[in-house]
Amino acid sequence: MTCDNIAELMSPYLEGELPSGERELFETHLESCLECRELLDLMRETRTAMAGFPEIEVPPALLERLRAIPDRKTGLRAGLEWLMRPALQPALSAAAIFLTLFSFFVFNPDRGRIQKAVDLNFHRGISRVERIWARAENITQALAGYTDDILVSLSNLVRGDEE
Amino acid sequence: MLVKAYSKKIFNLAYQFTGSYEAAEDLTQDIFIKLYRVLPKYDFSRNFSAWLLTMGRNHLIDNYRKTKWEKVSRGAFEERLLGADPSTNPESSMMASESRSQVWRGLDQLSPDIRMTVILRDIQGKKYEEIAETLEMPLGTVKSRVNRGRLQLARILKKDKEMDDDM
Repeated sequence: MTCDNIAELMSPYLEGELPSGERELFETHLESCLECRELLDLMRETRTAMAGFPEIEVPPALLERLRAIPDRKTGLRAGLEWLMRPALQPALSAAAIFLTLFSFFVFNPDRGRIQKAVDLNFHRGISRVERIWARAENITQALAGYTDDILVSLSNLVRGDEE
Repeated sequence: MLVKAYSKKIFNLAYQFTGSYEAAEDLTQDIFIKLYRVLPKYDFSRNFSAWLLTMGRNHLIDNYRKTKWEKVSRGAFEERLLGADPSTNPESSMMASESRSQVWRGLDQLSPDIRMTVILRDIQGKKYEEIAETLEMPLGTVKSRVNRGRLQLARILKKDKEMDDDM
């Protein structure tokens, strides 16, 4: 047996798994080879050292974190729950109505005509607002004129009484 | 219940594999998050403990390959192991502590697959058949990896001793 063969058989030898014939050959080689004997002793020492590594306790903070995992919500689930809050229901309903109307407009074959009608009504609305605004300005000016007349009349009246 | 039954096993495996207390905490948490995610897919014909250990082992090795923990020193955490030495004889305790410390550091020099095999066999004391099931590899491969790992560690120990003698 060569030293390489011996190295391959060291674990089975230490664990008592070598058949008797091989075991004898192994031991015969060891008697004459100091290097293999040393390596075997070191392997024994290595195994003893590793068997002596104690189990360590799990830190309590980690245990708490591990116990909390099943209650943890993933980002997507938490986001969905936030969206489904009762407080958001009116806003979601309004959004649904808006989207329905919007999709009706976008996918309607008469979309061009609807657009024109909307534009026409929009411009009519604007011109009506402009007319109301102009009329309101006239009224304001007329009222200002009346105010001046009333003030002049009142001051004449007061002066006539004094004389 | 899962946490109570398996957290210690997973935490110790992660600690022995990485040599870092903090990394072991993070990795244990990752493994449990993964466990709860894949639990509904668990095949009841399989041994649960082996299934979980396989998942843990895969996560540790994948994470090792992604992050490479070589930079993390095992030395800083050795005290946790050495401090827990139950031996009462101070001289033998010192020698045992020294070789444990050398072997602990030596684990860093083993490839992740061989390191995992040696940890399962020599630190956790598992049977070869269990390791083969956990690592999903033939029994002969497991045995040869364990032997290779032990030989590497023995040679590292030899080198350390020679260096100590020279000093």
